[in-house]
Amino acid sequence: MINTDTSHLHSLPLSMREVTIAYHRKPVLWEVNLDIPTGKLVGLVGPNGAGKSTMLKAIMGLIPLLSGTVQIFGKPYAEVRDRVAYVPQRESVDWDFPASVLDVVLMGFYGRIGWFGRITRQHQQQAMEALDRVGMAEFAQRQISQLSGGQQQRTFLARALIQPADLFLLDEPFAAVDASTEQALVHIMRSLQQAGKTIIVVHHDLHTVPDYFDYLVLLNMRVVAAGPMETTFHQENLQKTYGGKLTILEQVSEAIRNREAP
Amino acid sequence: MSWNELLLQVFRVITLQDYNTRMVMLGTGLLGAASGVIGVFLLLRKRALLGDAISHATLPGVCIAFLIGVASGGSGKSMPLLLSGAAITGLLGGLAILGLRQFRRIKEDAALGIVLSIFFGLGILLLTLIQQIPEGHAAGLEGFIYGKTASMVAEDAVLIASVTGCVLLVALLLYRPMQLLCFDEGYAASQGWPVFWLDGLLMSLVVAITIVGLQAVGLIMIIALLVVPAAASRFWTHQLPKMLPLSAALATFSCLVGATISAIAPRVPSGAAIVLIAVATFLVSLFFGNVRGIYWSWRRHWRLRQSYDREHLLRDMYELVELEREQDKSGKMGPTDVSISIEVIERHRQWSHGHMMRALYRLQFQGLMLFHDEGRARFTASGFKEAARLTYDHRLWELYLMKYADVDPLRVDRSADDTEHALDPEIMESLKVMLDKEWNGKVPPSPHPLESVSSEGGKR
Repeated sequence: MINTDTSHLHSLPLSMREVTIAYHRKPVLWEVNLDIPTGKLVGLVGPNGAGKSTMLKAIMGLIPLLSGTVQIFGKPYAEVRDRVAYVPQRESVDWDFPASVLDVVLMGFYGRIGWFGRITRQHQQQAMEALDRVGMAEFAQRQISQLSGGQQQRTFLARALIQPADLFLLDEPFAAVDASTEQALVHIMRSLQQAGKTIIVVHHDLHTVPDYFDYLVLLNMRVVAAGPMETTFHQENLQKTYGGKLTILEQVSEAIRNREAP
Repeated sequence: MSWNELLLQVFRVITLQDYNTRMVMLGTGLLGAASGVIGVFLLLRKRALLGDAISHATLPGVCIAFLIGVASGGSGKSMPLLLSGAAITGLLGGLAILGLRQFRRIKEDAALGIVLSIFFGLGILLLTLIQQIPEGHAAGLEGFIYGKTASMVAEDAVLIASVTGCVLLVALLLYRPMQLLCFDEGYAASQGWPVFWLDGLLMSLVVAITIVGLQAVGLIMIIALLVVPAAASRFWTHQLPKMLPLSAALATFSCLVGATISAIAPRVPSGAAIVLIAVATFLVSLFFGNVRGIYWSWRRHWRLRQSYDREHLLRDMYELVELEREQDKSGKMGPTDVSISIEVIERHRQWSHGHMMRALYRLQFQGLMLFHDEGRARFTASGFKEAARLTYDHRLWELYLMKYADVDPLRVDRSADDTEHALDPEIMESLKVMLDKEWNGKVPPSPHPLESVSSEGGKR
């Protein structure tokens, strides 16, 4: 099954081989094999506790692997860090932190300027452009504790946009944001895709999966299915992913109905 | 001590006449500056209790070092030896907590409690033993628990100054990585920052502060000097670059005043004096901090309510006056001639009489309304003008809500009431362009019947 000739993988944004991750000997992800082609807008979908966020963190080496390898553009993550932009879950930080929106976006430069580098006027200019792109320019000086959920998410996305990245990893960007933010995020993701970037998005609303993404990875402690949306998003796969959870199945059948009769 | 002697003593201390006093003040002041800065990072990293456990864990180190000193033939009271001992067990305590947390079988708070009590208990046990040997009784090690600036000598101050200088330098050089670590650990790690080592460094800086703070503040109170000024500074600013110097200034102030008190009344433990002053600055910040202080937020809220009351009262009056003048056949009744019963407005707004009278007196004070004894009020010329402006805005907003937001005309008055206070001049300008085609800035007629006010309104 596994192709031993890996030369063709060198251009792939993400390639995972036999990756297993465990917390305290309890496996969270089992033998994940996954290749993501360039330029896809990928939905990473699965039930709660399926290991979606864990997988993103494992890709960036934030969690030790029990076994297996992860390659980004054919190299270990540490060598291509600049080409990967990460948007963590909004709830993972304390928004009461004493900082402005602009301060948070400027944090996106810290990795590049190193330990003692300086934030220049040019950095500020770039940060303002990124904020403008997510519709937050007028909030640049606002204290972050005063932001709504959607504005917090836009701020995080702006911080990722200032990186010259080719692979974007977004952890639940649509969780509890307003409808206009959701549309704005989708719009930005599509324009990134048109610029040839690859975007992997942890997502949990099955209704919108076929609309937002063109590539699907179904995850439930292992990769249940992965492939283009048209051939992967169907009842059988979803049933395998979500098991016997009836309420979700109803959701799924509705989503499929919606898709068949647009 | 007579009053004269006391005053003389105070004078001697605050004018820094002794060499020793000068050095103690310099040392404790610098200690304050450094702990103020490190405290901010410790607080933002949410590791305040880790600092507490570390400082308690220094006690057994002090005792063991003393015993080693005595056993090797000295008095045991060599400061470098004692502080090295403190540093070793302090770091061990910190590592023990990080280790226990890694196992994840034990929650962080439990790990902190376990380490703190084991190390501190061991320290107290050793201290009791030490006090039973002849050298130990006179050593005054208990000064390390509560702090005793009186026992400090110039050399101690020099040590404090050099260590705090280094700590401050490291903290300022690593300002940006520390900021990132405190705000967003996961992102910092994804960008390749060595999160584990940065945490370790922060812990080491806390240990360093604790060690040099042992003499002045003592190991029980040092955590307060780290955390309290940092927490206090948050009430004054939303910006980290301002929080750091402010916290340093508050901590320095607490240290200097506390050390002065302790110098004047040597029986007061300096740690307690310093911490109580720090708590006083915290309380002042809690109430009067201009960003988050209770007083200011209460005042802002009160002002807002006042301005709402003012706008509501002026507009209600305007509508009642408008109605009166429509019913006046002669047409000679000017806007300032009509007097209105304030009871009607009271009922419409469901205000108490006291509420109504306070709002009314404020308007009278501003020269917008005149109040008669018979429970009636009328506009002054400027009052009518202001009321007309408010009513104009209100009605444009009502029209907008009905036309574009599908608000029921019978409910639009309430909806507009609830939201119009948020209208700024810019929005009003665009509403004018959008809706004011025929009135040219004059007050348009109400888009809904003025039933609740008008039915009971009027003069008769």
